[in-house]
Amino acid sequence: MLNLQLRDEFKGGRLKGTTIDFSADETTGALNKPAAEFLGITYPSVDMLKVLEEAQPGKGHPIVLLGGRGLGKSHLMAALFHAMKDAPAATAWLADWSINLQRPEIAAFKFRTNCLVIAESLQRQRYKALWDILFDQHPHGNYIKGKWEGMGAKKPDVPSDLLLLEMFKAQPTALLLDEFQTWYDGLRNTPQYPWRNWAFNFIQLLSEIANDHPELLSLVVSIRDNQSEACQQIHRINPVVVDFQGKQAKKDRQRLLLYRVFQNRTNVPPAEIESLIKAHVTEHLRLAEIAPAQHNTRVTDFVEAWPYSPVLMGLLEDQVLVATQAQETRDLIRILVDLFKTRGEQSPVITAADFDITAEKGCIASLLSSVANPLHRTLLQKAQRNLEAVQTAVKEPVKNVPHAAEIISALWLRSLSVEKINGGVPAELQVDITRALPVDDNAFAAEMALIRENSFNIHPVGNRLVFKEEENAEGKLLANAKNDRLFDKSGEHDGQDIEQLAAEIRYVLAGTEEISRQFRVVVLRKNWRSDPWNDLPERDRPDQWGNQLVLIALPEYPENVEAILGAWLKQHMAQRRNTLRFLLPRKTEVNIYFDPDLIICARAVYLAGQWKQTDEAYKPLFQTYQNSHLRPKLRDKFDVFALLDIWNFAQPGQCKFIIEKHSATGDKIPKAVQTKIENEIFAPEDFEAMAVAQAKSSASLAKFIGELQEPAIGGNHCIPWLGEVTAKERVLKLCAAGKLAINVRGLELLQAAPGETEEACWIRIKGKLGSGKELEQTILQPPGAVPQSGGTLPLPLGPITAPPVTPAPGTAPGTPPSIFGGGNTPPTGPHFKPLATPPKTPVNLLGEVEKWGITPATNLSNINVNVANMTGAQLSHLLKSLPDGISYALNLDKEAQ
Amino acid sequence: MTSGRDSTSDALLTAAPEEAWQAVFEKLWSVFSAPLSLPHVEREISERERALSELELVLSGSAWELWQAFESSVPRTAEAVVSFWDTAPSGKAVLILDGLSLRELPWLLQQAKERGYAVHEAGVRGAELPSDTTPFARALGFSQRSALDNNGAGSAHRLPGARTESLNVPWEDCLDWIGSAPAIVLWHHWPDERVHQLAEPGDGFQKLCREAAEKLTSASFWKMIERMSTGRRLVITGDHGYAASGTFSDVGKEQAGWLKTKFGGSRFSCGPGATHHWVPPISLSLTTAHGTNQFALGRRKWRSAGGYPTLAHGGLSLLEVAVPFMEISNPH
Repeated sequence: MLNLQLRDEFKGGRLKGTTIDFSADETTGALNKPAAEFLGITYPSVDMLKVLEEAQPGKGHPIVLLGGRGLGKSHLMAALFHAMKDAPAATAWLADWSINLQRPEIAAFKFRTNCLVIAESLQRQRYKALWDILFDQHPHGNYIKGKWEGMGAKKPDVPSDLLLLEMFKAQPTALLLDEFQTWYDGLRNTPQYPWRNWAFNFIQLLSEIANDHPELLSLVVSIRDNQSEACQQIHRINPVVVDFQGKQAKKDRQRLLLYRVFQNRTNVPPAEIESLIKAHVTEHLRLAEIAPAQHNTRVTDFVEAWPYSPVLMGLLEDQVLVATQAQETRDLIRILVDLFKTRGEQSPVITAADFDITAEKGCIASLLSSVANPLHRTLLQKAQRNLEAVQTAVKEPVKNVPHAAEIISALWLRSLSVEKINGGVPAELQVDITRALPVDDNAFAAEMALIRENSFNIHPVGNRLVFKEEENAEGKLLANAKNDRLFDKSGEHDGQDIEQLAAEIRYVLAGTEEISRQFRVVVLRKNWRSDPWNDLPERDRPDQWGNQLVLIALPEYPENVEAILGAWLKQHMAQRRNTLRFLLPRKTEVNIYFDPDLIICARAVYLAGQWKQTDEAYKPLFQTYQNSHLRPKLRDKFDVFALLDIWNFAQPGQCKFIIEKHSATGDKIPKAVQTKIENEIFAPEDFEAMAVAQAKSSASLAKFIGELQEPAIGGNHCIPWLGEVTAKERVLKLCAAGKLAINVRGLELLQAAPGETEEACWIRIKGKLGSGKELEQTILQPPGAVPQSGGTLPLPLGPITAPPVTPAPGTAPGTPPSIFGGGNTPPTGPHFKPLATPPKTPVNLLGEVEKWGITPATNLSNINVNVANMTGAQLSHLLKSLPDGISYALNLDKEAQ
Repeated sequence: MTSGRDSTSDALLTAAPEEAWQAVFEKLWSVFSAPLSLPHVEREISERERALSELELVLSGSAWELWQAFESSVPRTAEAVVSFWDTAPSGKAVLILDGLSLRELPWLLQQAKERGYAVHEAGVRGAELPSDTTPFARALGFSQRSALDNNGAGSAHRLPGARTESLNVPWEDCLDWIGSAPAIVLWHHWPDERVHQLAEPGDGFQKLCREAAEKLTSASFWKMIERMSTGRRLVITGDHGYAASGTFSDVGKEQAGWLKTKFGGSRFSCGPGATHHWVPPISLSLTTAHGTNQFALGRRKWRSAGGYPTLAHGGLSLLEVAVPFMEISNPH
């Protein structure tokens, strides 16, 4: 774009390291390069200029470069080295930049000319002690070393300040110590050889000399942080600290980076950039809701950061590289170079969406090589898998989710941050994918929705979306649920969604045990019209229905419902055609098995049910989708039922059905239907007529029930089937009402007895009918007269005192008395002797009784006390004195008034 | 139940016993001689049984005295057989189907007619009381049914010159026995054996109805009849009938207890038995040619140990004591 060119060193296929090798050993070392060449790739950042300024002759502070790895400390130190060694080159370089940066004052910087520059990268561990560097590299080093070592017993552990001053006076020196902290922290400190204490002491000496005698010693040290002792010691003498954290530092580093990466970035006219990235910037301003007052500033930001989006730069610097513990600028350069190499030509502005997760090489590889965190490495794999899932699940992915790769890439990059708020809001992602043309908001929203539904590591956090390593269980569940291919014929879960949905419908309609004992809900599948039974489990097929009342739930409300159901009954029900109740879904709704909402819910329930066995996370989802999503939707799906009314075998299309609302939901439906049929549709008189007719032909109860289960023929109205239990109960009620009699297997004849109330008979006979085979042996018959006999049990026999009675001729013993006055013998029993007396006074009667030998224990029978005349008062007196517990007969003639 | 009452029932109450029983037997003939149709045999037989219920009710609830005169008033099967034996020409045969009741009569009549037999006499005869196998055997002069086995009855019986046999084998297997003796008596154990086998609770009665229809219309049965009637006059009759006691009404608890004690699962008990005080009586003690015995009266049943048999005989109900009697010859 706009003929932007990478620097030559980055153009190769394999990117060289961007580390500045702070050494002079090899030809590639930064210190060995010609000053002009090295300075040519150096951008005079604020920090650089500050160091150069402080290193001018006459400035008297040690300089500390404080910053983490890869910020450019070594580069800066190398540039200083060259500036001190080759002042003319440095002056020319600054003069050039003073124009570019519009800072004329930097052209006036002076550089030391007579000083010895000693630069050492301490992490190379070439010297045991700091003074060894000076003794080794300074022209007077050996002399001073000899002097120090020759002090004999007076020799201090650390060369004294006087010795050092003497050395520097002989030759003023600039001492550049890179990686000081690394070296210092690695020093051993034993009581015998306290190397660290010595180093501590020596650096203090050097700092003081640099401070007090700036013309003799210029000390520049780089450290990573200000926590170490080394740093604290240098800090004691108030050094100039260059910490790369200045106000302009960020922007400055951006420029430095762009300058470092591109050879002609400064030559690209801003106006062209602005026009190139106009669409992107406009969308950014709109979607990020930037206040109009800040528009110009933001546009400038974009132009300055080009070819990268400032948003991306911020993201990489502030979040990604921090999170991944990369070596800041150094790695950033690698990433930016790779990004530009792979995407520079396609994207007018390079955004997070250009981190193409599908490409194995390129920017992703650079980034991953910088990433120290295994978590983030696996996150990439997850992102790739998610993208794959989206593209598999969505039909026509090229058309429906054209930006899937870019969006997931952008989201993945944005999710690498360790900060609490990571990820991105959809608007940010929309900006990320906006190139030369704006993306339509609605199209983006739709695409985003598809991606979210079909990927399972995208977690919503507030209004942000975050890519996380842990799977978004719900996301994964839905992603799988929406994947039609998983559930089609070639899929892993072929047809299980239909089965699950049918099972849920069955549960919703007849879930509880109480309901399912009485009713059997059979939910027909997709091809219910042509082949209703093959798809059903064995237990739901007609031969397994048993005595439950069967409700057939249809997946759709067919047009011309009566004709369809009539034909269906004829074709698929060989018998018991009158027993079915059809539950129909709402007329206006689509076939249940084609309702995407229901199907997806059913799939989610099915999958969660499978997965929860191995992953606890799916347990709550299983319950949520089953109890809160799917079942409530099904509860009121079926609002009407149909019942066969008039059967027409020859022309099933002419069948008539009663179609009624039942006004119930869920598992209340079966009972509501039953109640409605029983109370409003069932005609007891029809039932009675049929039962009586069956009784007349001595039909078995099984036959009667069998006939009730079949539709009435000859265009008659069918008697609604209420179930075997109710049918038997109603037959018994008819029996109690005296309409018919029932011979129960020859064991008992159930029939209302003469004078017996219906209620009493019902209580006597209820529950006496069996079931199954016994019904075949239970015969209905018309009620008839039955022999009845009155009387009592034979009296208990007493001791036989009399000889056996000889039977009268023509009669046999045991023959009961003839009501026709035949010569029957009286029943045999205890022998009684008749005793009598003429009328006497009560006292005399007592005397007679005594004479007859009647004691209080004597049994008497047939006692008659005859009174000729008495008054009512005397009768009352007599009755009152009679003993209780015995019944008396009273015969008298009352005088007419 | 009172409307549509058969006025002949009223007449029974005042008629002389002989006339009364004649009227009863005429009624039985009119009800049971009508043809039956095979597909609805159980239903039709049940209807015929119901048609008798009023008469039964009269005989057990009002005119139970008539039972005292049964033996002396009705033409008895044993006498009819003996009479036939005595008067018939030299070729004669008697087929006694043990337990054959009037229910089975129509099949014999229909088939005989269809198969071209000449029916010389057909009517209702009375069984011995108790209506059981042995009393009938005794009435014919045999000690018991098994005395006929293998022509072992000797000569001291009332069917002189008869070659006798008592068999419980399929009809086809009877053919070999028939042979060419001019005077034969075959006492076949069907359907009595099946009556007792099917007396369990259930649909034994219906099964028996169907089975009887099948057996009596079968080619093998009529092959046997043909063989027996070849050159012989043939009487087909039964020693006693049987009651579809499973269809009888249940008596009250006290009566059931009493009946259970006296009769158990049977319809009669030997000996005079005990008295009771129920009126109309639930049992009768009758003195007949076979001694004084007590009989369950009418269409009653009671629960007894093991369940009351749903098919039984020996008591006082019409289909137990009335049996078909027909005399046929084979014109070919």
